[in-house]
Parts: sequence; C-alpha cells; structure tokens
Amino acid sequence: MKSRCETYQRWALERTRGELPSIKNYLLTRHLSRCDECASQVKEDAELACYFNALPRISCPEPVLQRIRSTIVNQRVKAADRKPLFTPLRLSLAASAIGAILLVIVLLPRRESESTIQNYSAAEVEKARKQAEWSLALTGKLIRKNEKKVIRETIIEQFPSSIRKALDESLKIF
Amino acid sequence: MNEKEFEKLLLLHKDRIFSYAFYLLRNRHDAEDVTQEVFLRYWNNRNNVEKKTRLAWMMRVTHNRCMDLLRTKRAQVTKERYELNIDSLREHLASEQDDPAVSYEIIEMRKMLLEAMDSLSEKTRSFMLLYFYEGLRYREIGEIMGESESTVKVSVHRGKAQLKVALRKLYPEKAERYKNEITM
Repeated sequence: MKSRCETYQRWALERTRGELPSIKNYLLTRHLSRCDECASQVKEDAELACYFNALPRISCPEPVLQRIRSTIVNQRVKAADRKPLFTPLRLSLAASAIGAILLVIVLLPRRESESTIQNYSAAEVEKARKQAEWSLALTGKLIRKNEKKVIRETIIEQFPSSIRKALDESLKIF
Repeated sequence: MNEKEFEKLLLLHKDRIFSYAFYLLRNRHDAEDVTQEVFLRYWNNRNNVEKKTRLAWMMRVTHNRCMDLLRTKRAQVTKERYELNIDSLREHLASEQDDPAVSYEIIEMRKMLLEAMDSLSEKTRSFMLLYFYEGLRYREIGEIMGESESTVKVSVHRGKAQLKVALRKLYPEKAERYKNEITM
C-alpha cells in the first residue's frame, strides 16, 4: 500500500462522517476509480465506520473541568507560599560571608614552605651525605662495642667459672 | 504555556480525551478521573511536551492510564465494568437529533457496536477506537500505543474482521440489514 493510499482511506472515513471537503471528495472518487485495493478497503471500512460514527463525542462534565482548574490554582498558591531558599537578605549575607573568607585567604601572609633539597648546592648535599654516612658508621661501631660489653658482663655475672673461662677465650678470638 | 493557553487546550481536547477514556473504560467516574489526571499531568509537564505532539502525548497518557485501570479492575469483574451510561448518551443524542426514528436507529447501532466491542480484547478495542472513532493514521496510533506502524496495520485489520464476526454473531439479521443499507 502506498502512503498516498492511506491518505485516501482516511479521507474515505471522513466522508462517511460527512466531514470531507468537496475538492478532496472529488480527488477521492477519482482515486477509488483507479485503485482497486483502496476501493475494496474503503468498502470494507464503510460498514464499520457507520457504526463508529453513531458513537457521539461525550461532553466532559463541568465539575471535572472545575476540579482541574482549582487544582492548578491551588498548586500556584502553594508554590507562592513556599518560602524560597535564597531571599534577598539571605543572599546578600551569604555573598558578604564568602567575600570576607576570600579576603582573609588572600591577605594572610603565606607560611614559609619547608626547605627542600632543591634549596642547597651539590657540594653542600654531598657534604651532608658524607656526614650522615660517617655518623651511621660510628653509631654501628658503638652498638657492636656495647653488645660485646653486655655479653661479657652477662657471662661474668651469671655463668660458672669453668664455662666462663672457655667462653672468655672464644670471645677474645671473636 | 500560561494558564490562559492551558484553558484553551482544555476546552479544545476535553471531550476527545473524556470520550476515548469513557468508551475504553465504560465507566463514567473512572473516565472523569482519567481526564482530570491527564490534564493535570500535562500541566505539570507542559515545558517538556512539544507543541506539535501535545494531543498525541495526552492520548498516550489517557491510553496508558485506562489500560492500567482495566488491568487492576480485571480481577473484580462487575456489571459496572460493561455498563454504559445510556441515559447520558440519550440525553446527548436528544440535543443533536430531532427525528426520533433516526435517533432510535443510531442508538441501536451504538448498542450493537458496544456489545460487539466487548468481545474484543482491550488492546484491539483501543486500536478500533483510535482508527475509526478518532480517525488517526497508523503512525499516530503506533505513537500512542507504543507499537510499530506495521503492527498497528495488522492489528487494525484483525480487529475489523473480529468486530464484523462479533456483530454478525450477536445480531445476525440487523447486521446484515445495516450492511446492505450501508454498502448500497
């Protein structure tokens, strides 16, 4: 079915309702004389269309329309009653508070940033590294010395003399 | 969209929305609730709906809401579900038609159609209403019901066949007489 045929079939339904203008009526009659498919379709539709044309448009009752109108008016009244979040006073207060905060942030002296390795020369960094290595080595030496001292004191105070002598000699070798 | 424009829209589409909901639901109170809900939903979403697609949007919401209601009511099958407010229809008709003979014939056709429509599924009933009663195109029906154009085409075709069968089954003589009168 061509899309034009559908238009003619709609016109045929309008004709059964007596709503088709004369020029369209003429065009429809001419089309139906040429198109068998449309002619049979229109004939088929005509019977049912007459039944449907007997169904009237029923007027929407006035109370329904009044209910619709009053609901809309109530909605508008409620919307007007609802206090807005940003009244002019609140808005101006909020704006001045934000302005004050920004001013404090801008005007306050910035805290000096912590020194980083980038603030020193290569020679100074190398010197510091060597100093750190030396202190680490010294600390390790002292720890080992103290370890020996602690072991010796434990053996002297808590071990029997025979074992102590043997251990003492081995400790010297160690 | 301001309230003035909304008022225009309300007056323009109120009967269309109400009638569609009424014929789908067959219950005046439910149709009233659905119409109210559709327009209020539109008002709350008015900035998100394009001007071109206003009616399609409202019809889609109406359709979906009706389907939801029918689904929930399916469990509680009552007489009311199929009840048609004949009095209001007669009243409506009386204001339109002065010839009582014509009115009787139209009322009879209407009764036949509504009874035959009861034999269709809710979805097929919607397809039929949107195609014949609202006079919408397949593409427009697809947009409302969330179906492809080809699906709509097939469904409408099947719906027509089912409706004709139902009419002939329920009212064999009258259906044949009307058919001959119409196709003559």
